[in-house]
Amino acid sequence: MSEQLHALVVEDSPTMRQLIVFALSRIKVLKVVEADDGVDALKKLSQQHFDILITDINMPMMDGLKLVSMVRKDEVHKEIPIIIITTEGAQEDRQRALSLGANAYITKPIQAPQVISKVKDLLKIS
Amino acid sequence: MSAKKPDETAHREDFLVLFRRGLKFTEELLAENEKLRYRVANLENEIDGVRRSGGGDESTMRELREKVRELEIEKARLLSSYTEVETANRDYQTRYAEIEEEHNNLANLYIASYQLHTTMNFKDVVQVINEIVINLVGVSSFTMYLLDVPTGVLHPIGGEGVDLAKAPRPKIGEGVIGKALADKQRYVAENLKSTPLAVVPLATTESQVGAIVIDKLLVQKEGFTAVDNELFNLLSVHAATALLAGLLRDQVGERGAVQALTVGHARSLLG
Repeated sequence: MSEQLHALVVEDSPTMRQLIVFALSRIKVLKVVEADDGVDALKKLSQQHFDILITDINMPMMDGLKLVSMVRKDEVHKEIPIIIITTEGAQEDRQRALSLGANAYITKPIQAPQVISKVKDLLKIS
Repeated sequence: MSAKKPDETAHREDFLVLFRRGLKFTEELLAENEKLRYRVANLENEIDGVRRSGGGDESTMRELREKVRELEIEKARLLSSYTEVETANRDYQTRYAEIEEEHNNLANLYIASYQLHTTMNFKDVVQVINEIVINLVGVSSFTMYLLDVPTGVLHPIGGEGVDLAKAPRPKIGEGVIGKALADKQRYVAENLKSTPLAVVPLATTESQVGAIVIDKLLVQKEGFTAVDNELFNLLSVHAATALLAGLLRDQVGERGAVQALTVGHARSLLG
């Protein structure tokens, strides 16, 4: 039996969140937990271990950049692979997120195969 | 009786010696002859063997040539099978990619439809439409209009990348936007640099509700795709009903909505 992996999807838009979760449901070993924003994400990160984090940048309360920065300082999750979701106009945000420690990015409008491929690559699953 | 002379006896003895020597020589010749015959027979056998061996090589060559021909046929068959498998594999890969794309498209349509009907709160409905246009279609600049039926004027109520206060207020039936709504026909510009790029009328079977006017796509998007057209079809009807439902719910309020949710009311509507 394959090892169960856990993903945290951080996105304020219910539409986008559902789209990402729907895509990730194709990866059978992945159990997905959702968060509305950075604050909600940090709360959930403190409650359990996650293997990958997928986050939007523009969110209320705490944006994705701040979240990436804080996660990289967290002892438990500092090594967690992070994928950020960006729009084309956010080149600076993308660069900043990568420099803060994000491992990869996905550009909107997102395509399910692209999400699946990035997640599998980072989790090293076939 | 006469006695033999000594010379005759000597001659006889000499003759006998000579005869015996001749006999021995003859015997030796016969033996040698036998040896030679044996040797000849052996050589003939060897020659036959060599001939047979020579003849066998030709046969082997024929066999080998036949084997080579069979192997060539087999090789050609295997190459043909390999090419067929390769072609089939490519076809499967293409089909897999198509199915993946269809799956992705259906997921987008399902999510758009699901999100549009999760709420009857007018503000939330507008937000969901915004999210669908931005995130699923991939639009960077658009305006969402609602029709003010008494005046026939379209008013901007949402959008992205535009100043709603400065957005035009077209009348139904006038201009590209007004005509698209009046005819309930989607308008799509031929040139991606045109403005507007597309007008999606929002209408139910009974009435026109509004329009989504798209001015600009995300940079990485090279044009509208098949699923965008499907999303526009979906938005045309489902966004219209969701907006109308939101407005009606707001008008009747929570109490009115609860009152409407009675079996008696439903039965009276069904006749």
